[in-house]
Amino acid sequence: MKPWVYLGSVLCLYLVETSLFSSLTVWGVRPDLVLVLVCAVGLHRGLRDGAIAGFLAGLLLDLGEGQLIGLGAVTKALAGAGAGLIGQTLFGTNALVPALVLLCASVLEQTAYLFGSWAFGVYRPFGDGLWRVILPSAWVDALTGIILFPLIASLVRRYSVIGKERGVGSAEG
Amino acid sequence: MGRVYIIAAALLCLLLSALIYVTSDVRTRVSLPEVALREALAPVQNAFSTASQWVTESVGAVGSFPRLHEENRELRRNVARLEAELFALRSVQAQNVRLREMLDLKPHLPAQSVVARVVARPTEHWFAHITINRGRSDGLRAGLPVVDERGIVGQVESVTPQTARVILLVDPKSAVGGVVVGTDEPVLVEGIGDPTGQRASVQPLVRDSGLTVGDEVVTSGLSRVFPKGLPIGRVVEVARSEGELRSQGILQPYVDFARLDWVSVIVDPSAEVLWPWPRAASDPLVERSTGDAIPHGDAPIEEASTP
Repeated sequence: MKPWVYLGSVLCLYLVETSLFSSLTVWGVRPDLVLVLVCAVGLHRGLRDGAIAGFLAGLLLDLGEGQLIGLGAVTKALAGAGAGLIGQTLFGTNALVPALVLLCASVLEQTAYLFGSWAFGVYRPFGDGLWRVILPSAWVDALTGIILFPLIASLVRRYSVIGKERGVGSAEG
Repeated sequence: MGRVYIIAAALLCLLLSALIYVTSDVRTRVSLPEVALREALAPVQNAFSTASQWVTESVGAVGSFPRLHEENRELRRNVARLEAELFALRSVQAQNVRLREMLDLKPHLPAQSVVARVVARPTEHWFAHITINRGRSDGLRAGLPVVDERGIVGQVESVTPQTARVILLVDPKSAVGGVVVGTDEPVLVEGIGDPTGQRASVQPLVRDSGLTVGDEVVTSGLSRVFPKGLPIGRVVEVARSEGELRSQGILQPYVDFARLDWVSVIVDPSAEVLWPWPRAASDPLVERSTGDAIPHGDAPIEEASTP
């Protein structure tokens, strides 16, 4: 995927998420549209590209947020890498795979962010974070993935210019 | 090559750790890339936020339509109920004003007087009488004078234990002896059956009468039915026929018979009545006059001279 297309997509999704649908909350959380994009890249492009895509997107969002800059980049990179890892064996075999990938990626990202913030002195209670943020976000992101993943995945496929498109169940080269 | 990657990764980790650490606390200063990013995104965020708000409000408005519809119905019901209550309160207020006026009149009436409420009016416009809620059991009897705070209303025609029929001043069967205030010229005030209840005839009882428009007429006290000095009305028309020495006029009663609610029945007509002159500014005739109050002053009304 061309970098400028990717970064433009990240920015657009960020704007949509934080401004256009800012009041759209389910179970108290907003769907993470950028995570959907990162996971789509990871599923289509594999572990390494997923991690890079997650890192760039997370860094951009961190700059927008202005707090703990870099932590979001790391956690999004983990999510992208995780999506790439899962996609190496599962992608394409079931329509619900993207939702499952997003569920796992979201849990991974949010948990990593929670622990990462602890490491840098920003403490948030784990139980509260688990029930109020991590689990709701996972379900909302999974549901969002079911709806948006085909659209975003087609975008990723269309603008993919580097490397070979991954086949069903094939391993990343 | 592998060592280079490891070193690069380590450097990246260190750099990120430092960046996260630096930005983990409250930041009063914003770096240049952040400023550029925020400023670049701000207009779009503003537009998106406005659009989002509009969509949210629109969706909310559509979603809340059934509730608003029900709320609107409830409000309409409340408005109707409150309007009815307001109407009732205004009615009570008007009644209160009338009763206060009656109370103001009470000290000037003989001790033996009965306040009564008008409970019925004739269905035909040609009759000028009312029914009040006091009767024989309250000491009323036929022939007693009836007044309100503005003047003479009429006299009791018949009584039952609980009610009394009062024949009004403007009824053709009614005749009251009066005098013109200031000249003491005796006159006879008779009803002419005016359907509006606003006119009666006034006929001088002396030759070469000086009756003029604007004269005020009060009871003479000679008939022994009405105490002396009760206001009757004001002359509004005077007609003189050539060759006739007598003139005849039209009198407009002070009492507004169309709006009678409460009246006082004077049980002892022989008692002296000190009518509260001058009349209040709320007097309909004063209001209807050309602007000048009726020039009575507070001079006592003298006994009418007999022709």
